[in-house]
Amino acid sequence: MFLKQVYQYNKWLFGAMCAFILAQLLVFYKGGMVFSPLFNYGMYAMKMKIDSAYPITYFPNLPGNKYSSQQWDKIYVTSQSFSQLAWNEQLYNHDIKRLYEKLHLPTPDKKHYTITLSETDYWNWYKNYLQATVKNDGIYSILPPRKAVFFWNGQSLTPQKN
Amino acid sequence: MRPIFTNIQRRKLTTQVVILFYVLMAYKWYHGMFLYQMQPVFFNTRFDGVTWLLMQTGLHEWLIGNEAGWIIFDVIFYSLPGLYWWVVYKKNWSPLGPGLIWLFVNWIYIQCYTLFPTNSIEAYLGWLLFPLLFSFRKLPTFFFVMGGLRYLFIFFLYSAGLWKLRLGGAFNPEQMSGVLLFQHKEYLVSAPQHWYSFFINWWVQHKVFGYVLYLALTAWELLVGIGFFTKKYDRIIFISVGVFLFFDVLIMRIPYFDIVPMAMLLLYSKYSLPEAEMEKSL
Repeated sequence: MFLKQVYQYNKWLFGAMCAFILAQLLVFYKGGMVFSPLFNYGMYAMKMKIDSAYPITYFPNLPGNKYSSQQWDKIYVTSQSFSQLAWNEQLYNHDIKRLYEKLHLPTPDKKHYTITLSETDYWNWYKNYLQATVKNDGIYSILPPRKAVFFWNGQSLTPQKN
Repeated sequence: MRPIFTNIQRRKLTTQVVILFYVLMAYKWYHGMFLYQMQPVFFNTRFDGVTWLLMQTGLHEWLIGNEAGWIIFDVIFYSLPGLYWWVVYKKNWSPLGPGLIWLFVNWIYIQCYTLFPTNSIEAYLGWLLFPLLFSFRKLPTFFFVMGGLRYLFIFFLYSAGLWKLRLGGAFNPEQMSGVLLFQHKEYLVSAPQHWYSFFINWWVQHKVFGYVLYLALTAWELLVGIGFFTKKYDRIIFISVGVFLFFDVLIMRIPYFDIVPMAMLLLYSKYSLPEAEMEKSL
């Protein structure tokens, strides 16, 4: 057995491995907070159904087939991440502060965990970022993105009529 | 009789990992994934206690909008594996110092890099841990840590299957359809006439086939758990990881190639440690 061999070789290494295994199992069991490199690997494990409506923000002039998956992530995941900035604040107020208080440690400065970026500043930056990503000189003509609600009609995503 | 693990195999593994690192580097540069190409101006805090400690240093804030900082970070991160290999295998330095520097740099870079869009830290597990493996001087320590990382990789896949049972994805007949629409909705509305949109729509429409595919993935992840008990099927698991990566790109458009170095450990499980090496180290 692997761990037995490790124990026979070096008890410190054995102890370190056992600690790692126990910590990883604890992180898995709790299923919430992680401690790098002890992660949880869900890979779309959460129940997902076909939604009744899909509010989608997209660029009609940037068809998906023209871009690699990495470029695609840069185009869309970046904006999704920006829209989740409020989560930083929530995480700091509800979890980070509470954990440090629980451990009787001085509360860390909020500025390290939250960031303020106005919509205007973001879009000014995003225009250049998008241009660099899709290498399209006419990028300004496709901004701002279109927002629409789609639904699954059984064959494809179709715009919802108001 | 199992083949013996010697310094030749150690050097071979290290070289393969370093080469793979540079292949992935070229791939990332081509797809604009270097830090200087990502040009981060904000970060998303994650639910990770170790990351919170690092964030107290403010290093990630220093990188916000800092063009010089991005280039410095990229240059150091991408040059270290080559430097490590050169000083350890060409200059015969002890691996401890260069390995620990590599470990330190990887942790700082990856922790910061994955706070910015668009990467998640889990994919970088191998790059967080490999420099630790390469820091060990004694062959048996290297051998056992390598074996430990192999088990971690088995757990990585196996636990993904367990999560699908625990969170109910595996019991939801609409799961794959829901996942595909969530993943590709922007693609589907921006290129509705492209063959890939038809391909994805087909899977969403045919929920049963999609569900079977999802169940097959779950079953594969759980079957990989056999690697906890025997190394006999490691080569098959390695090939199946390649198949998984192919379908991940084809169906999900997720290039999860950074886990390949971890998968490579499956090819080294056939080796055993010579008795003499064990005794020498005690």
